[in-house]
Amino acid sequence: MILKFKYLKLLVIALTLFFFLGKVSANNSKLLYQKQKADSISFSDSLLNIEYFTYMNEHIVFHHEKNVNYSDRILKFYESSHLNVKILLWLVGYFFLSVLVLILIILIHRMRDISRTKCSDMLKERYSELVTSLVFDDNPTIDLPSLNSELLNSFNFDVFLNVLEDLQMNISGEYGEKIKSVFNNTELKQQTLLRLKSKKWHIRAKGIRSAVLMNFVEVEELIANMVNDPLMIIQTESELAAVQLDKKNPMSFLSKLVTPLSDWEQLTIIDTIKRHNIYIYSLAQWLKSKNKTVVVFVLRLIAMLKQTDATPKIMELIDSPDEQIRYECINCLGQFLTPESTIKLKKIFVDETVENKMGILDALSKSNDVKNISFYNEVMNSEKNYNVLIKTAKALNSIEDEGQKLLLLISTQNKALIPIINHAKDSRI
Amino acid sequence: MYGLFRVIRTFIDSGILIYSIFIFLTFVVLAIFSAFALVRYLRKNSYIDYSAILSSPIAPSVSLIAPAYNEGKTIIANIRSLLSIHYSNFEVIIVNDGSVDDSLEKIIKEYNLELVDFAFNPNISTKNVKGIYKSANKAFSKLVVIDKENGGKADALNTGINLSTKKYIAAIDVDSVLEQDALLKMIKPFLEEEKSRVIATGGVIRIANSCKVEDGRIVEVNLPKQLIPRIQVLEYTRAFLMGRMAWSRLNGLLLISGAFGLFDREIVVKCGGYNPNTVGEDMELVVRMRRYMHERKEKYRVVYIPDPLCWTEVPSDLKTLGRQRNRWTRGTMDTLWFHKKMLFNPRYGILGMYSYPYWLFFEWLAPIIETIGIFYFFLIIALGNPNWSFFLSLILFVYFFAVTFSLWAILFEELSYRRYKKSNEMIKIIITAFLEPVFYHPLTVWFSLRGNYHYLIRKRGWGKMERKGFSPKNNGT
Repeated sequence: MILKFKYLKLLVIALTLFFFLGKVSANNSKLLYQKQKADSISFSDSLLNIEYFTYMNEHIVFHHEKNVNYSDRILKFYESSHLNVKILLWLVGYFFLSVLVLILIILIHRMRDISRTKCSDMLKERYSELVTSLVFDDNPTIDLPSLNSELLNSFNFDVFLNVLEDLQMNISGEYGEKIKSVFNNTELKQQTLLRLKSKKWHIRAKGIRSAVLMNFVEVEELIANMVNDPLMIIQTESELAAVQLDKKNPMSFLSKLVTPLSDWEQLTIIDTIKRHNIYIYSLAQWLKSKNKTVVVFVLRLIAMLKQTDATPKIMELIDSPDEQIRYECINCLGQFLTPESTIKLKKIFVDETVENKMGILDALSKSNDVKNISFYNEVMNSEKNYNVLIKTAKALNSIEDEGQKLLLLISTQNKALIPIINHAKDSRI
Repeated sequence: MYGLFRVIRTFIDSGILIYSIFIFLTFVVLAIFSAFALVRYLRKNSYIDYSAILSSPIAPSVSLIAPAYNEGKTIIANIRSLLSIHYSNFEVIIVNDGSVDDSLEKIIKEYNLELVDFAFNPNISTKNVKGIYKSANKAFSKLVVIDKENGGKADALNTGINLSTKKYIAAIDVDSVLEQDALLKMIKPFLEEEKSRVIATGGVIRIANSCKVEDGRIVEVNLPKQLIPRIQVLEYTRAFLMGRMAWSRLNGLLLISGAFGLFDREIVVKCGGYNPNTVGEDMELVVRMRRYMHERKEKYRVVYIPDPLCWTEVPSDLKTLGRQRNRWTRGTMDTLWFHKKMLFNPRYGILGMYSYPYWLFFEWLAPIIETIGIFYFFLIIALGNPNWSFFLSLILFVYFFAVTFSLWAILFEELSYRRYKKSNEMIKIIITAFLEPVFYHPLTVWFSLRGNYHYLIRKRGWGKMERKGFSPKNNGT
């Protein structure tokens, strides 16, 4: 439903009026009426003419001037008005000016935006030529001091960086190295450093991005210290930068992290790791982190990267009092099931939450192991939750012959489970 | 006697003045909050790469639930649009709410649907389900169609919720067109928040009248050619960019548009789902969810994002507009009545102390007070001479205040998303801002009054919504 800002309009017109009328009009209406009558001015006449009120000795005197010019009339009207009218007229003037100014701002902004786009396109073209010459020409004749002074401008800097970013994506090897030399020979690094030290968070965020783009490893420490920044965007950007700049141990920032690592941050880090094909060393050391979100993230990464060396530690962690940590442990063990982990998962099933039970069933059903049939049978007979039952039935259905036979048997023994079993058997669902 | 009359009059006058000052200040404060929130959001999100969610193994699962009643004209294109949305872990649940047209037959034929034995847990009681369909074609494996007895939008949504097994549910009007990245943007607040639980998110709804739609996608954005939808563009921009943005910042948002909203399924089920006994089920659910979290003292947020996510067709004639506004008023009244316990109740924090009173006094009560004021004004004229100079000054003041407010909204739009790129469209919106207070506002007051009247005489129901649909013949018209 729409906020009804519009109610403001006539509402105040019609209503605030009466406050004023209560004080002015009621007291003086008789006097006004008599005065009007005396002057032989009809009510509509007085509205059509420019009349004004003047308060004299607590009485309103109605003046009717016809021989003064228009601007004088308005001025007199204004000067002789009651205080409330004066305030209102000031406000009318203010809002009228606001309207004009706003229209101007809107129009100017649109024109400015169009010209900025044009300017950006032109700069892009020019900088592309410059960078191409710097990278591909043996003896480039570029006026670097003049380029550097241009790059002091934030707008130019961003355009130049975009050009380099585009080029860097498409070029590697010797020419890729040459692009890096462009970073060193221009003001880019200096500008980036200044941005990183800015007090404005959005400038700092830009600085982190450019540092990553330039592979500016010298600032790695400075950026890594920002991982606990109270602003999430800085936190995320610095984590992503740390992963990309720290070649020896991309996940080392996890040791410094004391603030929670949100799902969004985890998701973007995983995406960066995948996109840049970053090698991640054993993560098991962080399974003992005091930061719960770090443990959850590491478990997710272990499952994704299939770091089986962490299995013993996960087997210990699965008894954690935290439901989410247990869920991630279950998911991890499901990725690389061993006879020990299978036994463990079956053992903890009964006391688990619905979500974790679903996780265990997901994990176990990956193997289609006939040995699990008795466990599934037990679940079908004891479980009450609809979704857990469907999942169990599906797991049974995926075990050909024996599993499907058991499902048939269960359906004859327990009619209430027939819809669930039918659902599980339908491959379209 | 005269003394008593004066006392009553002074009481009314003073009350009205205080009310007016409050309403003015509230709008100004909300606008300021919105401006800060918008700037922050835009800066923050200029760094965001939403595609990271697409391939992520930890992206949460979402069910898109779209109730459909007699939507035969557009249903096929709209389902196609929903299925092609950019997200990996999702399903589309279409709930045919006892349509009497050929909607179901069309869907069955187009998507090669077959009846399946779908077992689900009826957590929320609903009308009977006649059948559940899935496609024989694997390409449409994300599509589920439920055929059920007619029970209204809320009942249809509840059926979809019962069937869903995903973590989040998105309630969407099937006749709306979603932006391709709408879900990616809507899911982000759920992933970001660590300190409190996000229970719902909503985004900007845009007006699709006169836009060109192909294959369930907006391919060309145009400003509506007709005046009524064009004024609604302004109205929506003002409400979404200046109102809800501020309430979200204050964590006091009470309404997520029924056209598109994303909810935490667990909380929705625990709250009992949508209330089928109100026509304002979208607002009522959000209020109930918030109340539920408050009463359990759990930290939570309802987040609004200013990105344009969903396009919908708005009424282009007065009759349909009247029915819609009438329904909105009744929905507001229902919600306020159901949750009256929260009014000025500090137990509910900002919800009880600010959001609820705002809706009660400035959303529901405003048109009533406005009407009383008009009658009162005529009474004053009848009793004696009103102060015309004050009246005219006040008229001008309020008019220019209203226009200024609309222009701020246009500026916000211009600085943020600027969907209307043609210069003549911008000029048209500016002109509309000048026309709206004179031509449109009195109508909405009238519709709202009718809504109040119908509520009192217990005249219920949705009222027929005439839609032209996004069929090719209507494109760009």
